[in-house]
Amino acid sequence: MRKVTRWMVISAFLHLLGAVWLQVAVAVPGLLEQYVFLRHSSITVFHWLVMGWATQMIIGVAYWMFPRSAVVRNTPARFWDVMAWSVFVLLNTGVGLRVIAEPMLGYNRAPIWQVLMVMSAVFQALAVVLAVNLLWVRVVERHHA
Amino acid sequence: MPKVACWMIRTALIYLLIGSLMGAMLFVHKAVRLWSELWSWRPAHVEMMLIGWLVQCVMGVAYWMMPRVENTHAPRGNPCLFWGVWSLLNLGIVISIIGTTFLGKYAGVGRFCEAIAVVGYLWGMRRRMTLLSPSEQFPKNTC
Repeated sequence: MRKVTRWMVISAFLHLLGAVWLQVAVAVPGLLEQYVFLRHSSITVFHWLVMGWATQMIIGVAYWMFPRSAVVRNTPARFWDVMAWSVFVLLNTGVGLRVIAEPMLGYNRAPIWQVLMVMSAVFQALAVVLAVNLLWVRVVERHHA
Repeated sequence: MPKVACWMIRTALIYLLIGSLMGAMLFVHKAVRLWSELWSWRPAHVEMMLIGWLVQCVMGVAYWMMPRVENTHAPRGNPCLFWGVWSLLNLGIVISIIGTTFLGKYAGVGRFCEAIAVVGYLWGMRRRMTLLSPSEQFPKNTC
């Protein structure tokens, strides 16, 4: 397994852990009244699962297991590794910023949360553009596969 | 990787790209109001990310990687059926997106197409789902 894949899988499981525990926190009676920002967390949990857990897991495993096409073989491995690490950093930073900023923005519309949300959106979009580029060249037809 | 799986995964990647860019715009709109009509794109974003990306990608990879039925003319199942599944699933997604975002109706038709596609997929994969991998079928270190 490639190093970046291992980190993506570990990170995906940590996102899963965070999301399910946030879901528990949202469901605990009385906690919503005590911590107002939790009221705006249910949509965050959903995105945390889809982007942080499922999408990251698929990207990480696909980067490792999808066949190496001629395009991949003819490009230095370092190029793809840098791209994969960039996806890892951008996606995790983007999801992390969202998890913090989205519930806080519902609670308090301070400019800092707005800036963090815009940064989160940009980071996640960039991560996806790079990830699609990374995987697209690996989706190749092989007759005996 | 077989051709149908390639097309399923490529289509899923396209949905990931479009759905995520749409999601990024919706998310920015939440922080800084961009355009009031933008929020009506939310069902399209959900459809693309859940069915278009996650479901279709998993279907494509499972079609490629699940154990094959050996000694038959189509070890992965009937390719025509899976081309039908791919077509119907994507037709369903497009109808659902147009129905929810622009027309306000016909989304049910799209969902019905998606449901039929899933049934077709499961029907085509039914034998492969219960198969053991070759190493489990013919273990090397048996006494």
